[in-house]
Amino acid sequence: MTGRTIVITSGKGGVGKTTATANIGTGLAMRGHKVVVVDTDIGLRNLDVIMGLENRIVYDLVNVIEGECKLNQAMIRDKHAYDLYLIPAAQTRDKNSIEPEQLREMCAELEKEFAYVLIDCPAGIEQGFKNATTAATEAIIVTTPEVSAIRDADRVIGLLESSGLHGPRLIINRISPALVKRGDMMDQQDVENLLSVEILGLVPADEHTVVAANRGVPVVHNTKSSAGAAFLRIAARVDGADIPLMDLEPRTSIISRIRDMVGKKGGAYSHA
Amino acid sequence: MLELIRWFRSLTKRESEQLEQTLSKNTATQRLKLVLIQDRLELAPDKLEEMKKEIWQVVSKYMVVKDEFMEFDVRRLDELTVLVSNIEVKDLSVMMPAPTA
Repeated sequence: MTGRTIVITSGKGGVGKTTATANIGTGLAMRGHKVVVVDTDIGLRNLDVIMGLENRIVYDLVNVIEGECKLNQAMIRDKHAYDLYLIPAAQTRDKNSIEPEQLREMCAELEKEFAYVLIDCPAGIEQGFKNATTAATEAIIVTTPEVSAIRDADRVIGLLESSGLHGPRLIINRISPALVKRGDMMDQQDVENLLSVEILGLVPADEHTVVAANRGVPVVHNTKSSAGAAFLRIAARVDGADIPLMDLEPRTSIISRIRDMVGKKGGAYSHA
Repeated sequence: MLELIRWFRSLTKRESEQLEQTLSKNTATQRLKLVLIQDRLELAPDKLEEMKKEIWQVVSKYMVVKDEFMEFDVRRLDELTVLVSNIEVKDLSVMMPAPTA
């Protein structure tokens, strides 16, 4: 098997990289693929807590790179999704503990066994960013519809292009349909025009995402939540499914809600 | 009565136009547009203005161009970053002959 290694990056911190990594990884696993998610945020690991696997860590990424354990010893099997694994970052080391080439080698090894290798990139554009992006052959950029996040996303797109990672795709996270409607938040079209990259997905701001993080169960498991449905849709699009972006019009009438629910039953993302 | 309705309509129309201008998302996109140009070119705002002026001067050496209208954009096209500039030419018939080098 030759899997795809995809880095999830953003430039700015706190826009939802880790949440996106956990949910896309879970979504791809729910679609029947063998998936491994790699936390490269050495010193500030978080993917483990988002997935609820923090108590199962024995070995980490740096242990693998330094040859202190075998690759499969550092892989933690997910509690909720079948065929999903996590390689956690080291918490007590720093970003300079690994070289980009070492991570690339490890991912090449993983690609033989897994259909998808997802890399959770640290914030910033320093060593950790270089490590994560060098290892990948595709990139997903996460942003929110805010000036600071978009500016940083643009910078990252430029850096990826110049390092030869072409055609990154964009996820716009934490969209508030009500604010968009009021004209107080940039919409998909605005962001697309500014950044001129392909939009991979839209994720609404959803309380369920917070609850999911509290519980350590990615929100994509809750397909009734709007964020969960959005991430499942994104996973399908990553997987090559030809389905449209999520419609984020605020649902007001009862009839449209019902239509939505009925639509979901036979919808493209009820697959898993 | 009809007059009154018309007046009321014009009032609401003016309001919606005003609203369009003050929508905070429009302010955000306008500000971002400029910031992204500066970031992409890695140019300070004053340098950008300087370049704009110089380009305008060069073009105006050869043709009559409008003073105030000059659009500037830096776009990404696949692997390329391109600088796009629109300069309005006032009158092509008064195009000056290119100086013979």
